[in-house]
Amino acid sequence: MKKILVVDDEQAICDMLKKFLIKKGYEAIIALSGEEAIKKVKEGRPHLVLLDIRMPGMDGIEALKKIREIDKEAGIVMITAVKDEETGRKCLELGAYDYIIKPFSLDYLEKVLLVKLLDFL
Amino acid sequence: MGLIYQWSLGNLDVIYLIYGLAFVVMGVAILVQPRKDSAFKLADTLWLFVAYAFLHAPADFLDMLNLSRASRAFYIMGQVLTYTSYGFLFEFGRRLLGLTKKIFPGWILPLIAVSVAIKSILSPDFWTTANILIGYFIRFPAGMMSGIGLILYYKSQEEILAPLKVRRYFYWISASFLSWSFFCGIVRAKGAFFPSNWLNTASFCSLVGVPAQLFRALCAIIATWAIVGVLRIFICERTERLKREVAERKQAEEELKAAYDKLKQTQAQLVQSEKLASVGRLAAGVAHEINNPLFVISGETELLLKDENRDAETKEISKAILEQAERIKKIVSSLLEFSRQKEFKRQPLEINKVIEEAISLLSYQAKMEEIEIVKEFAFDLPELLGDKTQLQEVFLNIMLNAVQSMERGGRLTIKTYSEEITGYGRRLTDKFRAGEKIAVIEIKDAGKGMDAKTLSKVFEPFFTTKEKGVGLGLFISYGIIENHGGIIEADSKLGEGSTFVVKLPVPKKEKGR
Repeated sequence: MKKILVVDDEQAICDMLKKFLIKKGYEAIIALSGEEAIKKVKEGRPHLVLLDIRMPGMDGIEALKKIREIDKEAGIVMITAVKDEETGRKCLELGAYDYIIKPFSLDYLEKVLLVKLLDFL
Repeated sequence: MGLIYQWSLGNLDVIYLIYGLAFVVMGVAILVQPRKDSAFKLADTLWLFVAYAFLHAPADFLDMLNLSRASRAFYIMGQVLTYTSYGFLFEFGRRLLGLTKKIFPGWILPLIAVSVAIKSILSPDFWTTANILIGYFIRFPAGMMSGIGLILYYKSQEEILAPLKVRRYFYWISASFLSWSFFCGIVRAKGAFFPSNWLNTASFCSLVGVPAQLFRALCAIIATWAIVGVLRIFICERTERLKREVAERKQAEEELKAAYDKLKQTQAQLVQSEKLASVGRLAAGVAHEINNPLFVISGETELLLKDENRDAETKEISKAILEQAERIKKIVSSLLEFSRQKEFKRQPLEINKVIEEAISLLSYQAKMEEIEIVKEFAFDLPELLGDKTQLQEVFLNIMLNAVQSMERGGRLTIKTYSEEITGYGRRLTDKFRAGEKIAVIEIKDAGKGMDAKTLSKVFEPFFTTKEKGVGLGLFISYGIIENHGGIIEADSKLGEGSTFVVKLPVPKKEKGR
């Protein structure tokens, strides 16, 4: 079973995504901050990380760098609330596979991103 | 003749009195004129004539006194005053002539005075010799120079003086000065030398039958009348100056008022653009905060919709919620578009082409509504820098509004041209600097038009007159044009259609290209 880590400072978002992922047959874990995300990556080695950019404390971009240091293989998809191509490009350069803008359809997330990415990995 | 002779001789004192009074009148008349700051150079020399008049008048009164109570002292005082006054008259004439013809230098008067003094001292009768020589060499040239100088001065200033109708006064004064110089300067006391030995006051009197003093007084009276006439030029000048000053002040007042009106207008515009900018910033922040909860709502609803255990009604409601969430998402993303500043691509583009493409997008709709689209494009428009998609959105927004306002069809005119900003009437707050080139796009419809209240709000977010509108189209357009460094303006009258004007800066060409 593929393991997916959801990182967002909003509990409701994490819960909702987790619920969805479990339903779709993935193993889902959540982290509410960048620091927690790094810990969970170290411990659990998820196949894929959904990583929010704007978070208090360590933000998504910082977390992205740290995760890449630990794990070069994991698929990382950035999540953002505001479309900003510059930041998006920066994330790709730092090793994210894609970025996706909130609010997005869960169907889209599953069919377009997760399936393809997990296949690729 | 005999009668005049008799009367003159018997009333010489009266003649002297009149003569003296004429000088007083002349002097006073000149003094009271507003000569200060006059542009007429004549004004600068007149004080010399005043000095002449005021020195000569007491001399005449002394002459008059001398008739009734002969006194050597009166005589000498009278002579000294007269000679001094002649000096001023000479200088007056010399400078007056100098205004048009510089013939005599400044040292000529002292030279003559010294020569006459030496000659008189050397002669057996000092006072008589001095009297005659001063007449010949100072009084006579003084009068001649004054008379000729005045005429020449008039000629040189004819263009300005003719409308003041003072020509005859100049001629009369000149004539009186010239003849006066003869009666005063040539007809003098009887001397031992030519021509005073045969032409003098006594011989003149017996020859003509009238004393020279009478002619002198006559000359003085004519001169007085003519001087008062000539002095009109200063009054006219002052009147003109006052008129001009009033006109200037009026103009300044009007300019001030225009500037004030413009300032008021600018302030209103500034308030409007500030308002829109702050709304944009607010929208960006709010949009960000809304997206997170909105995501939870849409996500959870999606889960609910996919849950097979739920009944049909729940699914129906979930669907409705999702649709509304989708609407919110669209509104939020439109709002964000307004404040998206960095995110547009600057690429060289031909604005005519951009508009052309926007037109093609709504040509079908225009056809259905029986709207004729008229393109008045300038084909020498310089290339602009901007985001093609965004600018197209602006023109599409404006034209869609136009088409929708023309329910009964009509003409939609799109005009493009370039313009150079002139330096005149620029304000500090103006977007474009003087000399800058701009491209202007005018979109004029024949629709319903707007009243002033609607017009003042067209660019505000969520302001709409359409039943199904969100009211963000022009708000976003405003933001896009603002980001491009341009201006978007609207003008309209109810029932007369609306005109939207977009002004975009033309990038400066770099050297070497």
